[in-house]
Amino acid sequence: MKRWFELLFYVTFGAGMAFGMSSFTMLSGLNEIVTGPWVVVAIVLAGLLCAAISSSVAELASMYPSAPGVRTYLKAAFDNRVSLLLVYLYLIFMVLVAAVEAFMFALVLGSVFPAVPLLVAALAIIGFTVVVNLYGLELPKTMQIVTTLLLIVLIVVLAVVGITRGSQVPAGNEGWAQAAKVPAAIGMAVYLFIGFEWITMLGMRPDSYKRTIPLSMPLAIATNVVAYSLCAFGFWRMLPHSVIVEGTTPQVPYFTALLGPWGPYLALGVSFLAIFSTFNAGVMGGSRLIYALTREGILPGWCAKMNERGAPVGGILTLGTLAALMAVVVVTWRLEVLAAVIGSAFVCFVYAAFMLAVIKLRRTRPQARRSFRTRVPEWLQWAIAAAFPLLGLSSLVSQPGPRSVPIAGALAFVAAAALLTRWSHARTEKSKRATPYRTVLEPEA
Amino acid sequence: MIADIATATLEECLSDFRDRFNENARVKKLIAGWNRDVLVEPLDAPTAYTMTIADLEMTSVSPGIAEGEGTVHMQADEEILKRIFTGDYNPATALIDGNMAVFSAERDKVKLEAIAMVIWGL
Repeated sequence: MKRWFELLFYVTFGAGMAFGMSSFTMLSGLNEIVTGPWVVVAIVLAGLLCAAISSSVAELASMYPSAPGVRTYLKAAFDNRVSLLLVYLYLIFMVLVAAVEAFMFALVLGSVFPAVPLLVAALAIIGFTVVVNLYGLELPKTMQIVTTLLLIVLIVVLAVVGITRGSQVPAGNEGWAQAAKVPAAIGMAVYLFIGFEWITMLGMRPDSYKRTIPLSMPLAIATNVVAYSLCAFGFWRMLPHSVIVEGTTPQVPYFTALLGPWGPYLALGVSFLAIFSTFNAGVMGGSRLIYALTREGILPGWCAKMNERGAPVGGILTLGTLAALMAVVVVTWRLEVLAAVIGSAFVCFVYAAFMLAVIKLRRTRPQARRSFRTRVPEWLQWAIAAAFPLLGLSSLVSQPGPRSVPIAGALAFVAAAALLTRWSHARTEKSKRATPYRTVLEPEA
Repeated sequence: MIADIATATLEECLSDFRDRFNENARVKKLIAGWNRDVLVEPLDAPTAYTMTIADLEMTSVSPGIAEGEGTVHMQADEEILKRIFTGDYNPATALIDGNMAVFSAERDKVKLEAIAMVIWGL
């Protein structure tokens, strides 16, 4: 495979994983915190922070190529319980995102076919994805590249058209007073880039981890920074603020403002592209993580059941069922922004842990093989690791409405993750299967 | 049949695995339409091996490196590879422990794990 094709695949995969339907929901949510150009400032700063984190992730990936990162890196660096807690928070994030994505799809479908009940549409798309995965169908690499490129190019072109056609100019309340709200917006904007780290499991050859993968993650983030920034700027230029924050699918009124009655149809087309690039890969990746955790002895054996096509049936059905149940909750009580913000806050903690893992492993395993080393100075790694949890928490408390709701929601999930961690840790202690033959390979550099 | 992993060579372990692979009817169902070269590369030994899977059989285990489209590339210490191919260490666990790397499509990783599960009842 040509190197440029390999790089293009990684970049489009990383960008596509992050660019989902719920990205538009978060763009709407960002406008609840800050307005106009400050949304773009928050997106750019979040992108820069994620690029720094991607550099740490690349170093970890070069130590443990092709491994399911969130478990392997954190297990190598920290106590088993800390690793398990963060893995469960990450899985909860995946379930939340799947539910939000399904709901967003249902809302866009509803804008074209209003007769279709939202819950039915949300459950149908989850069911469809589960069936596709059970059949072991996988999007060919070329198709993955084409769908993501099409999605990004379409969004960028429509955003530029909106920017040039729109007439909005900064108002008095969009001045420096908004700068104080930017940190909370950054915590929320991190959500827009989550998924870039999945590239690390896809390395096609050992030396991919030396340059191609470390380069592809910041490129994927940069691609999305451009697309999201233009899109947010286009929304602001074309739509009144009240319209952007009114619903959670601002792309529908935006496309309608640009294209008239064809707008909702285009929004639906974009939804399908986003589902191709995010949803399916997410279910597959999540089910593989569940499968791997089960083989480690952490989850009950049925979670690792496979069918004759070699698809991890147990993981797919577990994730699909949890996503469907969460979708019922999200659709019934309209909790999409809350679910996305809570998930984003959890991933802020996981990303901080990745940075700390690099610092710790450089001290505890200095001789371990690393084909890539992050150039982010250690003081900056410490600063980002300290800042990310705070950014996540600030995005939680910056939501409109009572602050107790997102905090209570997040605490409920943390409590569930803590209980699961305790249970899994006890299982792994008992299970001989969980005893690693050796902690990690440590060949000389 | 490998009696003692410690004294067996990697080639012997792979040959034993090939025999089990070819004798197992459930494996044949799993690998329908799945023709691959599986490159097994020990990180601490000079010789890599290529297992060729074609037409529902593992047709050969030979020293040398296959580098084509669709090659499944496994890397680990020789001792770990021996344990994996004798059913002593689950490949999924080895991957999660960071003791093994597999460079392939996601589906191929799942397929390999499924084969190991079927052969060893892991």
